[in-house]
Amino acid sequence: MIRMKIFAMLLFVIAGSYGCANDTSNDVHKRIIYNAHGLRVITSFSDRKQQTISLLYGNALALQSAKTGIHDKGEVFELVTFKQANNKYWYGSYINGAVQSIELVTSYATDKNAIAFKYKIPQGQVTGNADIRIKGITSHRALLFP
Amino acid sequence: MLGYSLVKKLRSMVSSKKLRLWPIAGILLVGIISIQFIQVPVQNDKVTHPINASEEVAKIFRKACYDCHSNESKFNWYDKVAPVSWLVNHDVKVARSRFNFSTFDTLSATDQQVRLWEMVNMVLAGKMPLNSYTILHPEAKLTPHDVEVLKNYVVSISPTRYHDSSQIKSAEEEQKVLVDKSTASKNIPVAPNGVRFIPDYKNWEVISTTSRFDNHTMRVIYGNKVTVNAIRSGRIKPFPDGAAIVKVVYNIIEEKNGEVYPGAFNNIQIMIKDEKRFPESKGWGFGRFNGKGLKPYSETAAFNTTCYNCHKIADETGYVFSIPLENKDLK
Repeated sequence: MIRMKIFAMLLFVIAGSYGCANDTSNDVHKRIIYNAHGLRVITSFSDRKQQTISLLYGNALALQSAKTGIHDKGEVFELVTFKQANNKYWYGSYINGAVQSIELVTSYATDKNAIAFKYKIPQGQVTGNADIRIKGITSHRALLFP
Repeated sequence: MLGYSLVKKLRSMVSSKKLRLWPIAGILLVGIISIQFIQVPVQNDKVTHPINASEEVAKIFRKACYDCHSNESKFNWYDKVAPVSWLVNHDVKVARSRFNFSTFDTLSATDQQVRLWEMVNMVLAGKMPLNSYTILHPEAKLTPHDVEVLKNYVVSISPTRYHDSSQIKSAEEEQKVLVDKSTASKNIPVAPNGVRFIPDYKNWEVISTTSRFDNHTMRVIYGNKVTVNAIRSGRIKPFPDGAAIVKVVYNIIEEKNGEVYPGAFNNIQIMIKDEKRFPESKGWGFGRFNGKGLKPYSETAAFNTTCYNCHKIADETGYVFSIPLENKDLK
């Protein structure tokens, strides 16, 4: 009997949390700000034919390498590609819409003390092989932020 | 008998009320006649530098805008009777101070572009022509075809220069000297309205990024904690005091294949929310700092009104244009 009660309570909690999660994602008026978890912007670019807008974030080491062009171990690059949307309140402007994909590149030192990169796609789908994507992502130069 | 006495009583009441109303009506009449002499009628000055646009476009401006935004205002008889004339005078004066189609060509090409895009966006937002005007002048209403003509017109005056070598060169020069020059230890630039540059914006969250085909720039837009919390919790009408937004603006390099890259840094624009300091602009104080030297824009605080006038278009989002879209608008 006690087991039944515990099971029923567990079901209730799971159903409740699922319901809450759905409430949040279905809230039509909610506005989502992408959480970069403390990473800073390296650059931004867009593709009007593909209708995407991207923000490249990085940790301090990645930001430094995007200024100097010299890589080090411990760099973290996160390329977030959004769908491009019309800016509802200004004809003449596009704005980032829903997240289309997230790509993550991290650098590490090999046994021979060379710098190598790991590549992951935590969200969405991306065309192009990993080596080409790594080269593209790590070769962006940093914007000037006065 | 009873009916007769009632009618008699009513008649005497009306006639005594009439007697009492006459002096009031007389005073009102004298008053209305008197106020006709204390108005200064709007003058139509000469048309010196009219807007240079195609006949199709000019025709739309003439029917929807010219009565207020030109020196060719046409008034009906009731527009000339005070107190209506006072309202008309006020509206026309304000409208001409924003832009005047009869002197429009005295503005620089860039200023003309800025104002024309603003006009189109005012129309798209349903703010112009004013409803109070179109009620009495229904012929001034714009048709969907008119709006399309205006949209195409502003795009045509802001052509894209693909692979612009001057933009590429200035971006390359900027990259050569790229150093994270923090202004924290230097003098902080201050706009004429008192809005200070905020070097710490780099540690804030990015709320959005935009790519613009009106003025060929892009922006990375940051919000402080107050702003971010307000957006996430939907408390943006109004934004709370203490909200701050920083827009970092870059020129862009556009390629024929659709790729758009940032060029050189252009300016930084700031919005801070302080109801007490900026009561006339719904609490928003604006600042703009140009070039790598972050030179404050404008020499007087009057620019704050210009910024606010344009931001009125975005009253649905607390006067901020570039906040993330609502979930329902994400595709």
